[in-house]
Amino acid sequence: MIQKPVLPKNWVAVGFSQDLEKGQINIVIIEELELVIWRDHKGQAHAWDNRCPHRGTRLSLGFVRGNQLACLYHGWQFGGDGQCVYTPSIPDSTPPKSLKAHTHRCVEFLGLIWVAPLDFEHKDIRGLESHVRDSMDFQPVRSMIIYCSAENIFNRLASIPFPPSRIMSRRLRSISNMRLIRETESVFLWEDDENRTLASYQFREIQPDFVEFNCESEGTADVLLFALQKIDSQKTALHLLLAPENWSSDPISLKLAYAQWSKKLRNQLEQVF
Amino acid sequence: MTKTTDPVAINDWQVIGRIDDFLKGQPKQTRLLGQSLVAERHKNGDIKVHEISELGETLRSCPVQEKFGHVWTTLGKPKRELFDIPEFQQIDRKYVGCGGVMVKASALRVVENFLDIGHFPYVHTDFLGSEPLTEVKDYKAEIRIDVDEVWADDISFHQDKAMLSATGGKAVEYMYRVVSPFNTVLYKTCPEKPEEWDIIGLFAQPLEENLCRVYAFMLVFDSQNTETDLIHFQQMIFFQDIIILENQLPVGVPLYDGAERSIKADKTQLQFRKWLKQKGLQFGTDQET
Amino acid sequence: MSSKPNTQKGLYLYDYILSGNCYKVRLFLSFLQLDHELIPIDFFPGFEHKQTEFLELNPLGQIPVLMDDGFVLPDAQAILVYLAAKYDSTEAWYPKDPKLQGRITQWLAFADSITGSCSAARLHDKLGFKLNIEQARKKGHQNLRLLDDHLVENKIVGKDWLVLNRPTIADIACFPYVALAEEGGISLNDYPAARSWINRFKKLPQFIVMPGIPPLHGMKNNEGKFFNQEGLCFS
Repeated sequence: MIQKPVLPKNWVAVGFSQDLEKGQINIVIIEELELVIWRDHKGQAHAWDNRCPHRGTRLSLGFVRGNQLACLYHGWQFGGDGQCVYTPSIPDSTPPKSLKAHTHRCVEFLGLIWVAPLDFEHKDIRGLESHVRDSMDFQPVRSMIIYCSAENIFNRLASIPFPPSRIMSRRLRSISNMRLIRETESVFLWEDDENRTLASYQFREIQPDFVEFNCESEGTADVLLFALQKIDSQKTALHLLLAPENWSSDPISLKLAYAQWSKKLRNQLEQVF
Repeated sequence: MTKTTDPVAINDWQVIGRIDDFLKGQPKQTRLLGQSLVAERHKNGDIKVHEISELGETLRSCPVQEKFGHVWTTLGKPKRELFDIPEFQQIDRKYVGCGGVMVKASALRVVENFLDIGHFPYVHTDFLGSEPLTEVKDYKAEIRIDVDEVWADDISFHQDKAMLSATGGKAVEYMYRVVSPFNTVLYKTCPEKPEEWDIIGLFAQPLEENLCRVYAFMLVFDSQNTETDLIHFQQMIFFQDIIILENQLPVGVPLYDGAERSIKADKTQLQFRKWLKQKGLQFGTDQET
Repeated sequence: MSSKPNTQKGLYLYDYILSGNCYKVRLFLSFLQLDHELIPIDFFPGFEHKQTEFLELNPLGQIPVLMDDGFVLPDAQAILVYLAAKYDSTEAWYPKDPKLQGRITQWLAFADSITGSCSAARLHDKLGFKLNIEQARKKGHQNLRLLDDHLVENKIVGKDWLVLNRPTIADIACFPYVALAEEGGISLNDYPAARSWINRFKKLPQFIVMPGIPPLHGMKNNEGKFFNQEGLCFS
């Protein structure tokens, strides 16, 4: 018998706040549990089981009316607390209190939308805040789905690509023989033939599936945050944030460079060894 | 999957295609209730149907009949004759077959959706309904024990474009009739002949628990529109339903209490579920875990 | 054919209601607000597009076919280019700029690849067409990832659409079979940027739906603003 998936007892990042506009609906999967994520017109984001209690229709097909989510099938409307407030087939009736969508905890922090079970004891995500360096100005790079389990992402880090070209000088670009070595469990070095360090990565686990990367090359240090969302045993969503040493120079090119870098990372992680 | 063990589904007539789908000398493979079949029209015009093994070996022959524009067979011994739809005898009706469309859902979900009125304004917007006229007024729904069918009657709903032959929005009357678990017809106000009913029906071929092929047809009075116009209209309506049908969880229809919440407007579906439960049908249902 | 145009004057579209390639032309005709008449073709179950009468119109036996004052033009992408060049006086949908036209044409070709994968999978899954479904779905996923990556990177540089920060015929050409991909068993779950792009389409003025692509269902008041149950405008 297949067990019904449940949310892990932890905060899980499911996407960027900027990618969920008012009135927008998204579908996300955490450890095989399918959720509908939606933002009401007050700006509040919500995370529910992706299923209408009436006929089991995916609520992610639906539409947002004001601060209610409506199911596409019969237009039943559910308020932010999950309570069904309107059944159009019997417009004058008040739906019973027991008629509710299954809701979860949903907050926004660091430009990410985070989900946890309602009974999760560490209600305050701010606990995470103390672990993220507050001087850093993190901005979203992108979300991407990688065909690789979350565990394997860390196992396969041996294949992390060289930093994006924007922080790579002409001198570095001209070096052809570079190799990546794992100095310690959490430090990676790119070296040339004469064992000179060209670039380094250092990572630090803030919480499981939430990792900070320091990416340093020729005196430039960028900080990346990897927020991982386990989809199932084969797939992981990576939400990548960036805080460069300096945003001012050309933030768009910088983000784009890291977005392209993340595609290389994905390619390498998806290669079957 | 393998052939179902559900005696209710096995010992009943099921559709396996349109009559036109079977041409002489062109054997066709299909699936029914998890079983592979091969059907071939022989030189004398008769269709022979056999169950076949995974390796393609012929296992046993199945009874066949051609009726209502479609081909019917059974994997068991039906306790009763194939149902009747007497309106097929009315020669002045236009018969339009819309072809078989595959749906990744239980055939029972398809039938249940067909019996539903409340979804018209949201799924068939501007055709079979639209806001704010969403109310489903009280109606009758019952299991008719004498004929062993589910019927719903006294239904009236405001529709913008009820049929291709309809002009302007108006209240349209409906009757529903479930003739067997996977087959159903509806009767609705006929725009061209108010004293008659137009008929739309679905014959669903249960391929697997979570997959079916649905043959929609119409028996209408319509002197204005071509067959192609009518097919387009009916296919449009059905493909609007498909996005719902393929997004319902669980895939099977739950017959146990508490799995899905219903309201007054869902009367017909509740009678349908009660009837399925009385029959003991399992194929395409969701079992309580 | 059901109703052949009895006059050569005017715009006619040989159309199938469930075809994404026909829909992209209907959608563009709606964006351009061009009067036209649809001529329904019994694609399924009749396979009318493979019969002699239709093959005289388009020997490839494919829909859609446009007829404009007697000028017969098959191929959805070709029709989009033709309609933009002839009727879009604003030049918004197919700007007269060599680089942009080159870029747009690149996406028109990509749209054909989406048809060959996502649409093929849908024909298999819905209408029972015989083809290699695993291959079609695999190619479909490859195409969707490419599209999703492109939309992500475009968004970073401030473009919400495939070529510009407004829709062009490149977007129209790619849109239908991406939006219908799930009917062919190709889940869009892994492509959040593509889903947002689909959502943006539905908000465009003069957007029209087809079966399988439901509307956003905002209720509109007389000023075209959406309102909620209490009648409050919210956007």
